[in-house]
Amino acid sequence: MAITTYAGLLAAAKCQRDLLLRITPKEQLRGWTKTAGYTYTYEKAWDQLCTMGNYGTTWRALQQVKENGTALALEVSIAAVDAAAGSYFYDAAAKKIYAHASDDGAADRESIYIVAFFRLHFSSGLGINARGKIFNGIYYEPLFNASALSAIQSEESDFLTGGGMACGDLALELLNSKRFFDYIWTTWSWKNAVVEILHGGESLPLSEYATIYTGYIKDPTWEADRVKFETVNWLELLSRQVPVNPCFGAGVADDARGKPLPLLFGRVTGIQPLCTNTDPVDGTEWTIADPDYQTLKEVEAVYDGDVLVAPASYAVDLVNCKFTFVGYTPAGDVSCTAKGAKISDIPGEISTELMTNASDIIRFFLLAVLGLSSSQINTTVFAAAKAGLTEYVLGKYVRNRKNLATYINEIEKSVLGIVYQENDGRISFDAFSPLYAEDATIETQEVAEFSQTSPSDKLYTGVQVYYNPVPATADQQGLDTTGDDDAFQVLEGTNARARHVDGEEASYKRLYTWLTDEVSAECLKQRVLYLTNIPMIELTMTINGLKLFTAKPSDILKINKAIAPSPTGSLVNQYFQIISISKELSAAQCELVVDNFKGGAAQVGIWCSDTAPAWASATDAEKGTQGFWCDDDGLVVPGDWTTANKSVWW
Amino acid sequence: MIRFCYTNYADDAVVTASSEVASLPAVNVQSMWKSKPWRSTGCASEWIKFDLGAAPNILAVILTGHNLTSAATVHVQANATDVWTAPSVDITLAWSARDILHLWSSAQAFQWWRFTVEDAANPDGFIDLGRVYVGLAPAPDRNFSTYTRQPVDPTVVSESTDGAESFEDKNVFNTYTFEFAGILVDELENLVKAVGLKEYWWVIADYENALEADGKHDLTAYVRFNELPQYGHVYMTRKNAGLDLREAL
Repeated sequence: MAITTYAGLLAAAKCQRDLLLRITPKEQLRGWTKTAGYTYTYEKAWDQLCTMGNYGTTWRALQQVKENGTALALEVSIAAVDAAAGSYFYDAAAKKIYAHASDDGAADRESIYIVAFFRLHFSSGLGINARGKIFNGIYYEPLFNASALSAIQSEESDFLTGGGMACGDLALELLNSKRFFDYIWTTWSWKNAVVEILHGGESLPLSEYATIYTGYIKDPTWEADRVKFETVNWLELLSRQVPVNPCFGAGVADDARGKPLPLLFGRVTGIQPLCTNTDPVDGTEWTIADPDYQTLKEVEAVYDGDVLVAPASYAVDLVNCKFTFVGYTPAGDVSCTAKGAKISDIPGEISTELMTNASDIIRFFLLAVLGLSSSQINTTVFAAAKAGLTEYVLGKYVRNRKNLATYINEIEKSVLGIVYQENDGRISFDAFSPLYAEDATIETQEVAEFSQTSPSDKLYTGVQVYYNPVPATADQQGLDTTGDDDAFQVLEGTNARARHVDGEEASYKRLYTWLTDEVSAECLKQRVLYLTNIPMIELTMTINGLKLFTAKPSDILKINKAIAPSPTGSLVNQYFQIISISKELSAAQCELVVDNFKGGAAQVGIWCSDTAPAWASATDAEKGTQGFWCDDDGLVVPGDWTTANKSVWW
Repeated sequence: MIRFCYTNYADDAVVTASSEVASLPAVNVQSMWKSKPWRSTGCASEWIKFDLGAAPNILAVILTGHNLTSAATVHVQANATDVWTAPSVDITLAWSARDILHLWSSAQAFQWWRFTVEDAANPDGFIDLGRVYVGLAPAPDRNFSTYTRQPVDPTVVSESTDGAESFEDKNVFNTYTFEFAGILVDELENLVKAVGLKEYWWVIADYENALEADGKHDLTAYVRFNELPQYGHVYMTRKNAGLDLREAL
């Protein structure tokens, strides 16, 4: 029977699989002519069927047209284009693009760049029965050399130190022995062209192919018989520096000039704002955050040295993130307590609530600071993460210029969350939850290599949660310690099992967080204590086939292994979480490292209702994922210590 | 007698068709990939036509990489002009699952060539045609003495720790060898010079034989050299030589 679904393909031990590669390069369109009978419309001959020298033809599917980086709106007729500035229409029959510039001017000018983005189609092979890969009438040129493909490597470092996911840079190679690329290599722009790899095969329709990689071209290389594309993914954007803008302009105080304009989240005390106008001395202006990116919720209090300044002595401008003294000349250092960005500072949001949720803050960075569009993030997953992180209240005065990834990292470890790129290229943010379900099941016959370790670097005698970050230069009364940027308060807890059973007495897990209050810090401390107090197991495996090609670090696997170290001598429906995955496309295998660090896998239960099944009748999956009533010793079945720790409240 | 079909006038011709899907035009039959087809929009009555620009000698026509059913009626037509009411050549081609072909014993010199297809019940609803050959069909002075045909299955087999195997299916292709004893090697050398290792061509070694049960000729295929021939001296200008060929997918 023909296999027509991706699930069916993954489940088959014997099947034909292939990879499709779609690249979207671009071309500047010049040589426009005025379209007769219309006022603003210009036309240019442009054929989607493109002749590639001696190779023959290939299809380049027009995706969009941009003018100076802004997408022109697609219209349905020449008349509609003429009526709408900043639009275009592609007449497939006439093989012409019609464009109406955004300023009603001519399309052929030095000052504007009209660029066509179009998709090229490649395959790794000819598909079943060697009929060629043809979808929607488009032939996927069999030039994609999958055997030369490097592994797609995705790895998440110890999530308690902040996800730190490295994800999926990839080198692509396409054959050029028939000179496909020669004639277009210099005339088309390959830089930053989006690439997508789809995985499928057999008789699957295109809609059943799974996107397993999305990135963009960083470095194209031409060679006589092949071309290579070094690609990176969108997480690369997180290497940009924040805060972005420097403080400058007439009247800026000498000690503020050139400093980054900070970003403020949550409620922070001890803020030392930048003096952005020193004149007049009794009307100085103080900027708390960068108004290009955010507003302020509130300026609660202003201090002159240790003295509270009367509100009547300054005017607050929340939109421009500043306050200005009115007839008041400060004698000491000026500081303040303020509430930072509002949710409405995220593009598309209207709530004027204070932004304190990790999901919102990360979304703010991605959309407002990096300028991504909402289609480039998984808004559904972000919303779910927000709902799952209400117990964590965050705040931070971001004033030192660092990689955004560094700050994201701190947020991740503040809430046990993880930022990652999905296979379709969208950036997502997951909050860790023990309420897991398996993303895939691994059976004995799929395991090619298997080993188990108990890493000592994941064994901690206790945890220290650093919270309430306050600028270190401020009054540190009531604070316990100083980190890189800020001073903190500290909550500490002990892992009794790790200390007394494993004999670990020195290593503390230190978490420098954005948490602002003790309740949040206590919540994090308890969860981390539980997670770091269980016996640690780490599995290294090679899984045959491409079953896990859509998997990512943090996915949950249910593993069955006939021979494995365990009290029963095998693993039966045991839950593990992917720490790293290397997708070996050419070898059709996935190399995995999984552990039970997150969630305690089968160890963790949750508090549940009276309708929970009895232990005796519960399935293995229920025993692994649900909570059970227990006795004073924490045993579901009195006297049976294998039933311990099944009623843990998360 | 074995034939070497590598002088393809259709590849340089002006090609038009009764209809075509915009992204799979008629010129695709000039691409080396037989899997990259011309696709018509219908299947009841379609044609593809070649203007060779002149009237070279034609001894063979071949259609490869098609989706035609055994019920299809395929004609090859040739004429001095682009008029098809009563073409000088009009032959019904015998269907084959792989290569549909016709050989002439004497050259047909016409500028215009056309293939008509009627396959109304084709389940695809369109005609796919990957490659078309219209050209010469030279042969050596003696036929091959022995041959081998070996199917190759490059399927990747992965073994698990408990011995269970997984299979990554790949397409099976044939390799062929033809051994010639004491032949004049001029035609072989012309072939090698023209195609080297890098060009696909057709070998026809069993034209007179009936189709096999799978609807294919065993020894007719779209191929390339796997290795170039090695010549062994026999007597005077006569040599032993062998062809080592690999079927193109």
